[in-house]
Amino acid sequence: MGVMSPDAKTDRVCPYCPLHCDDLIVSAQGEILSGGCEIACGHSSQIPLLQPTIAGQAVTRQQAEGEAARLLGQAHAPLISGLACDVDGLRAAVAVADQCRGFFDHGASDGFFNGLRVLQRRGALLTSPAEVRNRADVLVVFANQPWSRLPRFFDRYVPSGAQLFNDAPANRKIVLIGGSHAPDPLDGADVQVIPADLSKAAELALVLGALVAGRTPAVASSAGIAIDTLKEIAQALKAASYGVVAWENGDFGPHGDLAVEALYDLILTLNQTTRAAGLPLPPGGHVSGAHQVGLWQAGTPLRTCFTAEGPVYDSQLYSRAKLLADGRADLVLWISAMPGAVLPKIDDLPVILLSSTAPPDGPPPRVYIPVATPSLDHDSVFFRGEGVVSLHASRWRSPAPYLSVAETLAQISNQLPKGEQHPC
Amino acid sequence: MLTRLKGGRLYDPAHQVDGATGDIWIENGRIVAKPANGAKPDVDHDITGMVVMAGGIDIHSHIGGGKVNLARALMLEDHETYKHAPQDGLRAGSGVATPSTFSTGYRYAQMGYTAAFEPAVVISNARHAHLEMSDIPMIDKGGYLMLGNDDILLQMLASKREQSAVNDYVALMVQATGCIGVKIVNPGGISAFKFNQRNLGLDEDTAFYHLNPHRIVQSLAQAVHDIGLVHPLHIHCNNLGVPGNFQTTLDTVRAVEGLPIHLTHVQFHSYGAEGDRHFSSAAAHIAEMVNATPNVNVDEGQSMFGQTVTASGDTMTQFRNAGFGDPKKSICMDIECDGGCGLVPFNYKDKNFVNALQWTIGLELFLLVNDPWRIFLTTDHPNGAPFTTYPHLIRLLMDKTFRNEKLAGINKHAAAASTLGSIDREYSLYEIAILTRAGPSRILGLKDRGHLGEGAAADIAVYAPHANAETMFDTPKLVFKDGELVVRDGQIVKTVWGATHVAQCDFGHSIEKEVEKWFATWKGTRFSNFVLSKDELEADGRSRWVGHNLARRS
Repeated sequence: MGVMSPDAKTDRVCPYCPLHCDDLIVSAQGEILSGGCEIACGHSSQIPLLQPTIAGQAVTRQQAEGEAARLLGQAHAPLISGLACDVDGLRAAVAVADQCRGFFDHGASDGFFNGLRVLQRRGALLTSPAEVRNRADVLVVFANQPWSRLPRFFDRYVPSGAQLFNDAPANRKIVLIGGSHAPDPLDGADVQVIPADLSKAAELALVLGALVAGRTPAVASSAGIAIDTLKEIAQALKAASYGVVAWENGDFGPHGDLAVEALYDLILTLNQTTRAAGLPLPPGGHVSGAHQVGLWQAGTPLRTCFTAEGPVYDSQLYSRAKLLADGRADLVLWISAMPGAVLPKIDDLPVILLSSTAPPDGPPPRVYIPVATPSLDHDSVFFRGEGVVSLHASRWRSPAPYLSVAETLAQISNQLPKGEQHPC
Repeated sequence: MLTRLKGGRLYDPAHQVDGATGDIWIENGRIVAKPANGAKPDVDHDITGMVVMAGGIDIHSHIGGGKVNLARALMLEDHETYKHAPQDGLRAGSGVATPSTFSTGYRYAQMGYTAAFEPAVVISNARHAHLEMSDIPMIDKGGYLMLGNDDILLQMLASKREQSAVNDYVALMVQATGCIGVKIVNPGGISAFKFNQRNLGLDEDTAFYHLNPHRIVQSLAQAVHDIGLVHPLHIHCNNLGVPGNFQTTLDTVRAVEGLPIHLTHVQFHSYGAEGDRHFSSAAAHIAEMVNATPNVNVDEGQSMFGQTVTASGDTMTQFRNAGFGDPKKSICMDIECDGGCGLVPFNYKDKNFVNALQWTIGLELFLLVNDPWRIFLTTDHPNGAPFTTYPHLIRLLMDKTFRNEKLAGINKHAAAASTLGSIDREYSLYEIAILTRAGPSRILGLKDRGHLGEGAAADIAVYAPHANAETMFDTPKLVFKDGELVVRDGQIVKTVWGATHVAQCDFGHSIEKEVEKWFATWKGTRFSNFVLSKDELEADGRSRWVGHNLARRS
């Protein structure tokens, strides 16, 4: 923390977690003066000294861009992934995937797809942060311990002050299922913490759903929670004016979509008599932005292959992990301009890495190009993690000596073979 | 560069030109007078005998924003079935009911349309809507801001704030969200649904605020008028789709006491409750009202047969209709104390009594409203049908024989219950040009669009005459956007980026402080980071912000 100076900039948007808190005050040098959580303040405000490389050898940026274009031009099945960057970077990334007939997936989308598959198969009944903040009188969260990655979640979603529609939010009931302890800001609120084995979340949600529907399953407990406790939770949700069921998609294991589907059914049942809605906890690495941009530009979500016939989507086959495991990609373009999509260990494919930090330890990527950090170094747009609100983030500090992801991809795109260039 | 379109048959209702043969001269993106100095054109297109109209303008089409993107995610089959690869400089894309942004722009241009307006921009999702629209090539765009279920406004009305404060708030929000109009959806109903109210009539009180929709509509129509927006309040009435709802529609008109209004997708609001099935056409009542009420404009929201998805801000209605989903799935969302959205896939079937009667009701309305300047051709894309059905719809309006053939193929009880077969009217090319160009440009205040006069933007569609109007309007011979040839024989030959039309509003700045405080207190976020600016919108090099200055009336 520094000292407030006259040239401090207010209302800055934080790029470091999907809450994208936008009340930060920063100094002209980009040091956080106010509003930063432990994650934000844990990042150095110093502009890192980074050097473009080819096979680990220092080169000029132009040489690195040229080599990246050459590799992309030769590739038959490039995987465009990582995708932790701002909206303009994502627009450029989709364009490159389209140009090069590549695969397009975010670097940390596994949990996100637990929810998306259910939305696509069955639907969804969702709410958004301001509604939770002002309306929720019961909040039930299925998550192990997301608060370390969302430090200001409770401050933003369920602050202790008055609600718009409720002068006595102290009556609000918060039930944390799976969490081992409540985060600090909740001290004093009506919080119930119930340890649970969320690998059994599907069964748990089915049992709770049955109780909400007025049936009593013949079980003594589910996921480690006694049936009487679950009856109380079901009763609280049924009695709520606006119950919110939140969950961490990534905590439900490989078949997590079954749990999400059961939670959706539970929410539908509640809405037969009262109001309730679902709230997937916001995913990191700007997955929500990558999803939105890919969807509007291609018409299909992440995990799309730009084939000779057009975009083809497959939520299982075209995940970056599956593509890498199956050996279907022949090149990886990995974008990591902000936290949330760490480059995995890839031994057998050439990698082009665009990152705002140094490459990870180990064998160097074939091409490494340092890029600016969105929000800190250039004006940007982020989708908040719930995917509804997108914020304009004015830059925090003087421009870094690196291009943005969008600018870098434009430079590479312009050097692709003529047949692969687009006018837009 | 000087371009001439030589010898076309011009249909330019804004100048009462009805098929006269003439030349059009284009320079620097504009239509110009024939050069007095006898200069020769650099490019000469001989279009002798071809039909020339201004580029089409879609006044109500859900083309971009969070709701549209949710619909794309939901409509898996639409995107599996319809897709196109990148070729000849065009981007890949997919979908017909919910096309990707690039596909949207290409297909509109391929039909001779050069502008489309997104009618449901939610305050908190406005930037998203603009981001999507910025990625729609070929056409001009603009948005209508959804108000009337936002808690700030409802709070102002419930606390009986003066109209001037409401006016300032509306002006600020239109400016902040880069919109050109204001829409109200199920007045008060989206908010009421969040309080578990499941139906809301025009004179019923809403939960919590104890406001009736009558009051909300009246105040918002007044605000839109007072701040000088050219497009009157765009109203999606209460009780969409409910049998007998025509009475709500008529009552809504009475509620605004003569203020100008635009009733949108009026087909969905023209239902009676008569007959064995308690569902009947009230098109005659609605048409009669429109014919007798000069302050009212309507757009159609025609439904067509086939697969689509209904995408609406009206969560109360969409939740109620979720059971009709085909495929059976739906999404509803409560949004940020601003509004909501709901998506329900629909497959309108010609043998289904209700679907068939909806189709006849829409066509009856088209044919019974006398003044083509006050009814606009829409399908409420994608709610009634994808916009790609417009050429077919135009043929239904222009060709009575074809219409009656189609009528003979629908559910026989619906056909028997409809007066459609007894209506002889056939729209002329001149009237089609009003419905799809001249009328929309006038009601939106786009002075340099929708006509072929000197000074107009050279957004022009050239069609080869054909006995089958669907064939003719499906594949224009030539399309020009801002003077550039962009489509030839239905194929895109050049990618261009259209403008975004935005109203420039005045407002008292005390309202800004009030809204800033409201955002910080109740949303936990900063209003300054929501406000859109010309600089931001134009930073990507694609978009062009065209401001329309308003003359405040009060």
